[in-house]
Amino acid sequence: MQKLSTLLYLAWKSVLNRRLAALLTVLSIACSVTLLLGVERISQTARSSFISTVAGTDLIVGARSGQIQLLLYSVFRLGDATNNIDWQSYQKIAKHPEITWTIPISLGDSHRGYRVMGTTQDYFEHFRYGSEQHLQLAQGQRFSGLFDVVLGAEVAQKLGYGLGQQIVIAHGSSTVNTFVHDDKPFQVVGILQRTGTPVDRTLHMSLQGIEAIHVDWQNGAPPRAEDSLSSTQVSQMDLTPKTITAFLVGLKSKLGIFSVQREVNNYRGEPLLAILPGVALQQLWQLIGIADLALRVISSFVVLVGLLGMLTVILTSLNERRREMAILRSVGASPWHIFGLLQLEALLLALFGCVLGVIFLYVLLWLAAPLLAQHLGLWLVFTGLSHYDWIVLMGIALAALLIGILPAWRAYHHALSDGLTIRL
Amino acid sequence: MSECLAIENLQFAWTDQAPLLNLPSLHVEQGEKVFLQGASGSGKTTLLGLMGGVLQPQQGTIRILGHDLQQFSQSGRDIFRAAHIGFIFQLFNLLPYLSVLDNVLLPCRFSLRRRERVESQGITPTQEAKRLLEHLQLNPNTYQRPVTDISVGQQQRVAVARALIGQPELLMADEPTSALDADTRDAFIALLLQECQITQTAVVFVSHDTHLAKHFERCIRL
Ligand SMILES: Nc1ncnc2c1ncn2[C@@H]1O[C@H](COP(=O)(O)OP(=O)(O)O)[C@@H](O)[C@H]1O
Ligand SMILES: [Mg+2]
Repeated sequence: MQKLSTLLYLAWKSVLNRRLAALLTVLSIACSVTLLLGVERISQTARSSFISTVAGTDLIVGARSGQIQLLLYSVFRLGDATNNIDWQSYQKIAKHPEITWTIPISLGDSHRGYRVMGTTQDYFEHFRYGSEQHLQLAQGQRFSGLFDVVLGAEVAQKLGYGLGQQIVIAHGSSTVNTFVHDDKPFQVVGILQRTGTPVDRTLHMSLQGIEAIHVDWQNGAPPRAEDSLSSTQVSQMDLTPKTITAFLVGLKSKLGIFSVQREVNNYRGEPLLAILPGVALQQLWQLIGIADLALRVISSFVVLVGLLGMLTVILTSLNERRREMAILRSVGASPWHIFGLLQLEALLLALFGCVLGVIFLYVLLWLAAPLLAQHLGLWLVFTGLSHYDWIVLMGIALAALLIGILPAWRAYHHALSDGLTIRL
Repeated sequence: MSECLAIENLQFAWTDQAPLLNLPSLHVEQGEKVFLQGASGSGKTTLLGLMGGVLQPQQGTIRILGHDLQQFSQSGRDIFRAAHIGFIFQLFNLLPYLSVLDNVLLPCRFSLRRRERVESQGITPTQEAKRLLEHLQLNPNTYQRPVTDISVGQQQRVAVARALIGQPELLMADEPTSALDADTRDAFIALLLQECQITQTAVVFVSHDTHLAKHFERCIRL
């Protein structure tokens, strides 16, 4: 015990004596620790935010295609549906006794690169994300009129729109718009609170609104000037949609999920596909997860590089320290003490690297949190060190000890073979 | 007077080298001051390593204070050395990262025996270190300074204080004066021997310099 504290004291003084090299070593270990832990934090946050893009929805139904494709367009507003669902089919399925609610969605138009989604009031009632949160209005109210639109938080912020703003919807989803429904402008009546999900990048309006801007279209082509109808003319017409793109389903009981899914998939009227959003999200994340794994592997290598830097620093100092070892031998240090001294130095450097790395991590997270929230919709939660973090830190300390064996072993051998010869 | 150091039939060779030392017999009494003269490269430092139990002879016995060093385990020899022998080297005796005072205190950190011997006099190791440094004419304002701040002559006196703290029975000095000029050299040896006289410490002083023999009771050629 006494010896250990002596060795610790000597190791500490010796590290301090070479403080520039030590500081650089500690810094490089610290940076690698920060990277490793930071990647983990952000990927955890990204994952949980991703998985909870939709919550409380039991099934998503769309025209038959791939499960991922349906998820992409219905939830992430990425890509397009191959086919629509007939309004009659939707009505029929929605009446299923197991089903408590449905949210129809109709996609296809956009505004300055942001997708426009037609839906019903049920969207505000039943749509949930994250930990079962409902959508909240930051300003204004839900859409009620034909030409009302409710903006996602990012849309309003990026485009600088407020309540009362008049906007026109473009046909199709490309940013290079070929056709603009400029004869029927919409008015912003509400802006949603930020959710960190694709909802933030969506413009919401009624299904009838979507129908209204397309009612005078013929065979998917814009009307000729003489055929086009004005907003007031349109509002007199029957605007029940003929098709929708997909719909979200809430069931009475989770137990019914598979039977309802089967019934939808076997629906005779047209080919449909019902997916479990949780399962599809997991599957999609596994696709993206490859990048996640790559990041982890890279940052582990960075840690290794940091530790090898330490090895270099200790090894190169060994020769000039042979004299020091002989002195220690003369005052009673055994070769094992010399071994322990060098191990402790490695451990000290690694521990300081870890502590500094954790400090860096929190400073960086604190600095990055607003940026991540703003640009990626990722909400970092400031928690203490997780089980995983501790394991990583212990692993690094252990790796430092293992790597430290090399210089310690060399010094041990010098101590045995040099005797008291103090070679200069 | 009783025996402090006894060597019989000692033979030693470094690995892959011709035999370096062949010493039929060497005896040092307790409190005796012996000068060991030998040319450069004759194996003086090697001999001190053997006597300190840092190196192992291929043949022969080394007895210190009646203990055969061969009978000890490796760590036993380390403990024994720390407890009973003080060393002074040619140059760079001190750990560059410790202060003057902390360098002197090193043996008390590695040897319980030496610390206890200081404490049995009712003083702390730090007090004893300061007392020794003062005796060796070191200015108190240097005690907390890094050893790199003081002159070579001062460094060698700090090394003497370190070798003597906790009253080891045997002091081994390996050409401690080779870096000093003629005047300081004689003063240094006089001071060293005077300190050892007080504590009745035996001295084995090795050097190639025959002029130093006059300070010692006995001179042996290697
Ligand atoms: N650690 C060592 N390993 C191998 N050979 C050594 C070692 N130390 C000293 N020697 C050899 O032993 C011989 C004597 O060295 P040394 O004991 O230092 O002599 P001196 O102190 O009398 O000058 C030299 O030839 C040297 O090469
Ligand atoms: Mg020598």
